[in-house]
Amino acid sequence: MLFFRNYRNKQRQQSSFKMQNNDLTEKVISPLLLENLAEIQKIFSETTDLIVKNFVIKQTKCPAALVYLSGLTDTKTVNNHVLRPLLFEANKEEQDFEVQVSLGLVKENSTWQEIENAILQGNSVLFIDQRHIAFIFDTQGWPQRGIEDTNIESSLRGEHLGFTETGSNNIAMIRRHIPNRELKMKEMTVGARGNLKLTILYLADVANPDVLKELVDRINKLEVDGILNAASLTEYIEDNPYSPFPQLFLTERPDFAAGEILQGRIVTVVDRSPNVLIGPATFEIFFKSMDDYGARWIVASFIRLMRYFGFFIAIFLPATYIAVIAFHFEIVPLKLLLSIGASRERVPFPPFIEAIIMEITLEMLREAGIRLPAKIGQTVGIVGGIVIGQAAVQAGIVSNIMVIVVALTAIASFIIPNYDMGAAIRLLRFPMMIAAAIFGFVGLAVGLMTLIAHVIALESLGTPYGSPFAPLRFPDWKDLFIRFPEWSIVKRPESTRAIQRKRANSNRPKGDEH
Amino acid sequence: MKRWLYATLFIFLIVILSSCGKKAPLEDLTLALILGIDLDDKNNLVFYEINPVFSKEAKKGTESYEVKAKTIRDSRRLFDALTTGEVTAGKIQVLLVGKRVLQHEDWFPILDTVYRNPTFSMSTRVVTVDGPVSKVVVHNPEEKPQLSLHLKALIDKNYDRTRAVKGTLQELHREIYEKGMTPFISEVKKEKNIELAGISLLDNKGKYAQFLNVPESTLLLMLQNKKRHEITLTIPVLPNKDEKNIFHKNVISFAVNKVKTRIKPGYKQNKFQFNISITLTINIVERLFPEEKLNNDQLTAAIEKVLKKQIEDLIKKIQKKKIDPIGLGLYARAYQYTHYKKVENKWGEALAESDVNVSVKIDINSNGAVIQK
Repeated sequence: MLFFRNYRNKQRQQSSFKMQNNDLTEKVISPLLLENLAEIQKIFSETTDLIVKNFVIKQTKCPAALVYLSGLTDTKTVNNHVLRPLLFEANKEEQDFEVQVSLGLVKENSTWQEIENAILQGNSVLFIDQRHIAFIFDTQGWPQRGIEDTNIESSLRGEHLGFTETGSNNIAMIRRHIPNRELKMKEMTVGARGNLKLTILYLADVANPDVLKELVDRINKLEVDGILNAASLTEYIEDNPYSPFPQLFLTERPDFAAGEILQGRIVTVVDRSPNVLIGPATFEIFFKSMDDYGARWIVASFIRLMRYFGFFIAIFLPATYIAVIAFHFEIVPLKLLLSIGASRERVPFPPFIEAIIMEITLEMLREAGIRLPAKIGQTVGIVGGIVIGQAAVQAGIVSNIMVIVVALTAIASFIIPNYDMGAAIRLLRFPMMIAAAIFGFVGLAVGLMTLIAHVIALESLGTPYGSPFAPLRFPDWKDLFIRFPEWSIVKRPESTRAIQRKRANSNRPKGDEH
Repeated sequence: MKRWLYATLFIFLIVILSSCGKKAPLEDLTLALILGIDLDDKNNLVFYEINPVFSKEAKKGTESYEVKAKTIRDSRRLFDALTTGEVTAGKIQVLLVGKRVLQHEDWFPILDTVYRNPTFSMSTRVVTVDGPVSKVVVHNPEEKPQLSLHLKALIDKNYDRTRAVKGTLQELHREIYEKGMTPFISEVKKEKNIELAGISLLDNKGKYAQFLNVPESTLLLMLQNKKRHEITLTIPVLPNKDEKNIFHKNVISFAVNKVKTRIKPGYKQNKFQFNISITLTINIVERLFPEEKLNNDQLTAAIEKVLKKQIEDLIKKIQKKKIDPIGLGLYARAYQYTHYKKVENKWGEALAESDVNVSVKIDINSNGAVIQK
C-alpha cells in the first residue's frame, strides 16, 4: 500500500492534473463578432451538434450570432423566446434595451471559460457585434424521463415520486417537503471533464457546520475527470473505503431525504443521478424505511425488530449450521439431530462445501435475476426453484436442512430495506462461514467480535457510525428497535450532531377534551 | 508498515487460536444414544451401546452392540472396531446400569471417565435395569419409536407426573458425595414391554439398597417437595367389606393441587427427631362409593389416616436399610449441626435410630363437577 502511495505521488509530480489542451481561464471575448465566432470554431472543432445561427437583431440592426448545442437545448424555447423576439420584434420606445427575450434567466459574461461551460451545459449564448459581453440564455432541455414511482425502495404509504436524473427536479421535490427559508444550498462542481453539479442541501439552523465543512472539504479535494453517479461519488468521499458497510445513505425517495434533512442530516443532490446522498449516516438508518412512519407504531416496531433479527440470521445462520454439524452437534436436540443426520447421510461433501455450493448458487440466481428482462426473469425463478428446492436434494448433493438454511438466509437478507446494507450482509456471511468451518463456535465468536469492533470504529463524515449503540445514547433508542409513537419523539437524534436538538413539543393526544 | 504488522499479527493470532480440535461432520459419527453396563454370569463387565443408523439402505433405524471390556473408555476401542463411524459419547441419552452391577459396593468409580471427559453429556439419565441389560437393549418393537427416544420420554414423562426421578449423571454425582442424603435413580424392567418399575434407592456408596414401587416413589418425591405438574393418588379409604370387591368400591382418587412438606429436625435423648408435616390441597377426581357413606369431614380424616400410614411405612422401610433418600440429613445439618457433625459419616445409622413423626393435613378443594348433596 505504501509503495503505491509513493508511486502515485511521483506520477503527480510528473504531470499536473489537467484535462484541457488550451487554457481558457484568463481569456476574454473580443468586441468583434467574427473573431468570437472563429474562437468558437476553434474551441468546438469537430463538434457537429454545435449550431451557430447568424442573424441581425431587428431592434438595433446589429449583427449577432446565437450559439448552442442541439439536443441539449430546448428547441421550442430557443425558437419562441429567443429567436422570434430578436428577429421580428422592434420596440420603438425603448431604444437602449437591445436584447429583448422572454426568458427568466439571462446572464451576462465575457470570459471564454464561462461561455464554454454554459454552452456545454445546454445554454444558448448570444454574441453581438461591438459588444464586450455575451448573453447566456437558460434554454436547457435535454432528453429526460418523467417522474415515476420508486424502483428499489418502493413503499406502501410513502409518496410515489422517485428522484430522476435531473438535479433541479430533485431539489424541487425535496423543497416541496420543506418550504422553509432555512433550507440552504451549496452548489459545487466535480470532475474536470464531467463537470458534475452537486447541490448540498441542509437546514442552516439545524445541521452541524463542522459536518457540513467536512463534506464540502472532501468534495473540494476531488480531482477526477468525471463521476457518473452518486454511488461512485460515495466511494470517493466515505470515511473507510475498506469497510463492507455503506457509510453514506443513498436513496431515491424525496420523502426520506427530506425527513433526514429535518433530523439535521445533510443531503447531496447529484445531478444526472437518480439517487441522493445522505450523511452523516449511522448503522441504524439503513434499517429504517419510510413505511415505518406510515404504519402504526406497534406494527412498525415489530417490523423493525424483524429486520434486526434478519440481520443476524443472514450473517450467522449458515455459519452456525456449519459449526454445529462439524463441531458441536451436542447442542442440537436429539430428534432434530436424527433428522439432520438422516438428511445429510447421502451428501458426499463436508458441510462447508455443501453450504458454499448452495450460497453461491443463490447469489448467482439473485444476480441473474436483477438484469434480466421481466419476462425472462420468471424463468430464472423457476429454474432456481427447481434446482435449489428439489433436484439438488434428490441428487444427494445437498441436504434438505441446508436448503432450509439457505432459503431462510436469503429471505432474511432481503428484508433489509437498504440495498447497500443488504449486499454488505450477504457478503459478510462468507467470511463467517469460513471462520466457522475452521474454528467452530470459537471462530464465530471471533467473527462477531471483529464485526462489532469494526462497526464501533467506523465513522461517517467524522460522526460515530455505531450510534446509538456505541456510543450508547439511550434517548436515541426511541427510534431504534421500537419505534415510539411520533408524538413522543421530541428530540433529534444525537448522532446527527444537530445544533438544534428539539424538534417538537410533546404532542401527546389527550383524547376528547370537551 | 503498521498495517502489515497488524495483519501479520492478526493471522498469527488466528492460527494459534485454540479451537475445538477435531472436526468430524455429523454423518461420519456413530452417536451412542444408550450406554449399558452389566455383569455377566461370570462377573465380567459387559457394555452395550445403541446408535442410530442414518443410511437409507439399512432396514432398522438403530443398531446395538455388546462388548466385554475392562472400562467404559476401553469399551470404545471395541465399539470402534464394530461401527461405521467414530463412536461419540456426546449424545448419550440413557445410561442403563444392571442391578447386578449395583449390588456391588464399589461400582461407582467405573463411571469416572463419564465425569472426567467433558464430551459426555451431564444430562444423561441413569436408570437401573431390573434383570439383564441385554434384554432391554435388544428390545426393538416396531410400534414404538426407537429405544433411546422412548426410554428418555418414558422417564421424563413420569418425572413430570411425579412418579420417577430424572437421575441425571450430575444429580447422581451430587447425591453420592453428599453425606446428608443417599442416591436414588429410576428403575425399569423388561416384562413384555419395557416398563417403569419405580425407584431404586442406593446407599451412600451407591450400592443397591431398596426398591420402591411407583406409588411409594410418588410419596418419596412428595416428602422431598419435588412435586412436578401433577400427582394423582388412588387409595382405599373404606374397609373392604365386600368379599369379591371386583370393582374396588372402597377407593378414592384425587389429584393433588398443592403439597407442602415441612420438616422440623430436633435432638432429644441422644437421638434425632424429625417432625414431618405434609399439607395437601386436593381435588377429588374419582369416588367409587356413595356419598352418604362418608361426609366431607369423615372423608378428610380417612384420607389423612391412610396417607399417614403409607408414609410411615415408607419411612420405616428407609430406616431399616439405613439410607436417607429424603435428605433428612440436610435438615439435621442445617438445624442441629453439632449433633450431626458427630454422626456425619454414619448418618444412615443415626437416622435409623431417630424418631420420625408424620402428620398429614388434607384440604379438599373440590369434589369435581358433580353436585354434592
